[in-house]
Amino acid sequence: MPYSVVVIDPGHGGEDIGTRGVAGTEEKTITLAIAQRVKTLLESSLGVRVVLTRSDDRRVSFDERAAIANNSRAGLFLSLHLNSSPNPASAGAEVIQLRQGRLAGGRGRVVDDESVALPAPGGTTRTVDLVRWETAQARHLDASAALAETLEAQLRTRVTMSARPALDLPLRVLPSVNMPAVVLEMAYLSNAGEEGLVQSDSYQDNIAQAIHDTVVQFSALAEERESR
Amino acid sequence: MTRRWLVLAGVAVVLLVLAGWAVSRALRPSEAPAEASAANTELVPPTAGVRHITATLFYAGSDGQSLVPVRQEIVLAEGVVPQGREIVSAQLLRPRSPYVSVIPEGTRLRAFYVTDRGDAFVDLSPEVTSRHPGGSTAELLTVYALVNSVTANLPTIRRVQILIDGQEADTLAGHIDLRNPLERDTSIIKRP
Repeated sequence: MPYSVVVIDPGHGGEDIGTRGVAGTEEKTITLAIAQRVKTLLESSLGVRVVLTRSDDRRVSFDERAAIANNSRAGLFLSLHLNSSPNPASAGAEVIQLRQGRLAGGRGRVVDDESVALPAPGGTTRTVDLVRWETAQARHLDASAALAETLEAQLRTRVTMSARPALDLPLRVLPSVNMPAVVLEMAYLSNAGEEGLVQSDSYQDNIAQAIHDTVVQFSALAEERESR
Repeated sequence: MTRRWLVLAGVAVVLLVLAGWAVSRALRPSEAPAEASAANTELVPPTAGVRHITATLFYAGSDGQSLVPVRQEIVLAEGVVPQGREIVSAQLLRPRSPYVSVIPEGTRLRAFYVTDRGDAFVDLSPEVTSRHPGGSTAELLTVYALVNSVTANLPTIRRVQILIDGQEADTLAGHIDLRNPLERDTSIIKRP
């Protein structure tokens, strides 16, 4: 496995409950439960370290989530959420990524990152990449698109997909993440049927297995790219 | 005799105090129109004789994942800023049946500004976030109903930034990035 660390980001937490189902199910509880299930599966079967941006019921800011991910030097970042719609019949999973035009308020191309030479012991210098916090995701957009495509294909064989399964939205959690990153909306809590489904072991296992297989496949793709 | 005069004087003083209270209450400035127009009131066309424009407002599509454009008569105002206020205020109101609003009930327009660069700032009351149902789809519809209604009806406005209670905000409900002004997005619009 080229990736020894994976970051799973359970959406919301603490006083930020996220969305709430008609029967009262809170998004923050389900995202944490599934994140913990994914962690157990990946660590036991792949031997990778899974970093959760929160492992209990507490609020974590967007920048904190990105910092946790960036400091872990992980191979990929996956944020878990549950959705809501004005139409209670809306259903299915969606994978969301950023595109170039969605970064930095859509102000055209993002300025390239810089490298600087810093003095090092022995009179030498070492080059350090300066990555802009607000647009760190810019250098990973192609890889994030590949990650989104892989995840969508893996989900499609296991759970119901939305009528618009792949989306490009200006999501707040993604711009500062310095690695391939996507958001997974696992189901609609505003749909009574899906609200019941997301609490079941079988659904949570299906999501965890789809993420497991995505990590395996995406890692293989990365390995292939590196060997070229 | 003195006692009767004292009683009468007392009654007169009480009456004067009551009259003063009533007059001061009647003269107190009324609340701003935007404050008074809560989103749970229904949008009605301007009365006959009032000059109006036909604006495009946006409501939930039948699939719950898109916006539908709806032509609606709203009051004509002189200038971009007053007209912007009328457009956003109309967008916040409950639409006529069968359309469904994507704006949380009770959301009010606090202020509407325009910069020289063609960016509009829409300042909304806290209900837009405190009463939001959450979920990226519902949030996307709320944000772009506002952004699209302003940009579709005011050609000089290119981008819209949403403020909450006078402050810049990260998001409405944890998903859509509001830190920068947003351009019009027609990808989520479906014709009815």
